[in-house]
Amino acid sequence: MIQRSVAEFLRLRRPPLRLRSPAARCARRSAAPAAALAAALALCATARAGESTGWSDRDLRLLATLRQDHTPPPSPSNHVADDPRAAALGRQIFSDRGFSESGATACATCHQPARHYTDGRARSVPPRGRNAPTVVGSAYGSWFTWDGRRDSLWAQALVPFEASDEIGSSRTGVVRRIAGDPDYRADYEAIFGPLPAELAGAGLPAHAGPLGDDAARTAWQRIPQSQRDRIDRAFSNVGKAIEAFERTLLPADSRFDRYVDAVREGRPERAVELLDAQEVAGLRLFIDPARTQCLQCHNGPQFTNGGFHNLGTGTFDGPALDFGRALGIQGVLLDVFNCAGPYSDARPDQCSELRFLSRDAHIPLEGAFKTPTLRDVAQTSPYFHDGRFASLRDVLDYYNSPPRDTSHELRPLGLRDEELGDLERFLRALSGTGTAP
Amino acid sequence: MQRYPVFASIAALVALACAHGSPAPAQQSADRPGWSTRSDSGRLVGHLAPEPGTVEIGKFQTWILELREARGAAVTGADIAIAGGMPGHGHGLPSQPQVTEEIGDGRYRIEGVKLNMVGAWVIEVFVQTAAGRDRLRFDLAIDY
Repeated sequence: MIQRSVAEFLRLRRPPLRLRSPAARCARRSAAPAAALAAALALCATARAGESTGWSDRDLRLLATLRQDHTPPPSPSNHVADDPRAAALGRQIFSDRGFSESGATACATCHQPARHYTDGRARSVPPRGRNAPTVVGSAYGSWFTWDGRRDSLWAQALVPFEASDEIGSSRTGVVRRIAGDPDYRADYEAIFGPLPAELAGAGLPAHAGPLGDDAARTAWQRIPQSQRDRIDRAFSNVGKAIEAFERTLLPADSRFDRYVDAVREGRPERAVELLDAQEVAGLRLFIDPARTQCLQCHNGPQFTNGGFHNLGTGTFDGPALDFGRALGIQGVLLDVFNCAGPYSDARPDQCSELRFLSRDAHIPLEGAFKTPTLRDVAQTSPYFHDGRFASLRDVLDYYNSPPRDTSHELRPLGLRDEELGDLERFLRALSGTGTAP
Repeated sequence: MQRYPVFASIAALVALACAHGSPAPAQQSADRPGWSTRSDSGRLVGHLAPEPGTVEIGKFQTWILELREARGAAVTGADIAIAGGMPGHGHGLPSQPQVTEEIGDGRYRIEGVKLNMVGAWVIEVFVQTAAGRDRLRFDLAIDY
């Protein structure tokens, strides 16, 4: 019955990808009974693989899903996300330590361009601050920070300004700097329109905001609600400019991308120039569900499924307490700058992540953290949300023999030493040069 | 973006079944895209399929659920809740799909479905009607 359904499918279904494949074309031409069809499919796939680089049709489809196209999804909550003027303003703010009350810190302190927009530290602010992830390719994400407590790049970019141990400014401090600097103000107003007069004058407290220290919160309470709203509006616009800049930081193509092009074009002579035998062996392991689980979470063009997974790395007591996604869900729901909030430019139906947010309590999200990209991973050590692993080999060793005394989604892999070496070589081939032009 | 037709795995499953002499999973619909199953009580028959006809990994999709009584009458006015996950991996659905519209003739629109990896997924559909509560379990084998 199922076999007949295949025959019917191949005859009747509209087409798509599957029918364009040589295997399907073979099958379509075949007048053999359905029982022979499966064999034909398998034979076709093998023949195709033998012709070129040793990859089956399924492998080729899979590899195509990993090749990036340099087209991040739109950011509907930010109407200036792709405005070059906003990107230019955001670029300046990103590196400007003048926003910090100490004059010492900017976004670029932890997201250093020379370090692929990371800081090389296990934790940017010990003991609880997490590892600074790269900003490169962040435009492809849906959730931000390791626990996804923000749902846009612009909402995330606002958080460090109000954290006393990060940039250490405040909501009014940020607005005052924009209003008080003629260049910033001109750039801002060209993009977002005139700043309200009450924000431009000297009346705004220097240090006020709902999330800062006691002094900031007390000062914030004294500000009338209507004025707070205008401050929040201007503050959110600063985040939107930063997002516009960050969206320009896209991963450059790696040798892996060019390898995928070569094998899909049936050019084995070119493919061998791009990945050596060890790297290809690592790639085969990476995509082999019987040997590894890499592709379960590190899939798609950015090598991440954008989801949250429990690898047994949550910390449930002590000074480094970190519940991961379980609290991130609460954080994003409470955030006034989320996609459904008053400062978002999105229609409600464009906020799918928030609208269909999984809040299911029995899903093991305590100690779950966001799957990071693997693009340029060789440039972004150390690894994991708390930077606990200094090297890629340390990470691979953990996956190979995950702890037995904590609950997590991993199973032991039992890979040999040289296989782990192959995987590491493959991961290193995911690096491009700098960021995409 | 690469698409994954609902039938993507049929050929592989058939090949597998032939090779190993074991039956292929029974829930893939034989005559149209999607999956069919009978409810726990046996009273209901359900069909579930992505609206575009294909599963796209990592993207939000709208799916259509069709509910009928075993004798063929459309089930209308049902309260429906969706759950699921990957039991083999110990995690749930990455999003919380919701029924957003009863289209008519026993068909319901489910928005917010997002599968973020290939493999063996389970979608559970909990149904409440005047006749009582019931559950349908759909086993999905998604592949490249």
